[in-house]
Amino acid sequence: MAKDKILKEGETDIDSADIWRFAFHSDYPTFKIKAEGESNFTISSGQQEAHADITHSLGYSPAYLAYIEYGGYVYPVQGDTFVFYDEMYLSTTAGYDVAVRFYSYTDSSKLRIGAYFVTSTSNANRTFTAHYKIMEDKWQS
Amino acid sequence: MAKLIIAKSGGTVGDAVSDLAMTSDKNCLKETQSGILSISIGASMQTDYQYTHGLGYIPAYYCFAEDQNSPGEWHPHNSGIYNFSTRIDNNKLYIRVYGDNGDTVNVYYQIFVEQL
Repeated sequence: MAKDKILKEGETDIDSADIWRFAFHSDYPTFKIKAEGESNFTISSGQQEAHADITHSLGYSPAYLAYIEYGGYVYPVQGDTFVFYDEMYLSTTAGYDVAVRFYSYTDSSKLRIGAYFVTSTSNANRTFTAHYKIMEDKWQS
Repeated sequence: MAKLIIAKSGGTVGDAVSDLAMTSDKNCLKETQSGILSISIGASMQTDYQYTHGLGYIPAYYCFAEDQNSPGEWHPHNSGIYNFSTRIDNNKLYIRVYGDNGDTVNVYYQIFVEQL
């Protein structure tokens, strides 16, 4: 079967076995973006956790990129992660600052992006913005 | 409008979008900047490094750090190694790494055209 290939600028060998030399190669699927956007969620005063659910309804768990915006910066969100190490401590009802962690996961119908205080509860309403790009592509075949 | 659809080897253009190599119906992640930064750790055991992407908007991105004890092993940001973490705004990518004084940590960054 014929292959479709597009070399990157500066590359000259269309028969190269080095796939990284190609901007596109039909043997290697691209990440195709199905849905993208943002969604606010708020950890209310007295609460410990909040999240945004983004429905994708694909029927399988897709690849995705997730980020959370807070305080003028955007942070990448892995499965369950600290935030710019040792930096995001916010005030709580316990009377002292507590670390906030971000998390994300996907299943066959939704992507969840959330934040929580490791201990105690927030002493104020805190609104975060989840940014996401959900791919058509599956992690599992 | 005409569409460009490219099937994977062995597939057909009628396959599900998730099984296609490419379709012009869907945007793809397009890399605009990438490279490896060698970040030195100082006496404070922590380095905050800034890389200027200069895009004027907040792009999607991803970073990995190489394990000095196992060269060739690359770990994603915010996964725990070196407490390696990142954040971004409309002008810069901020990278924080920890280590021993005198260490050098290699960080691979990949910034996409796509805006968050």
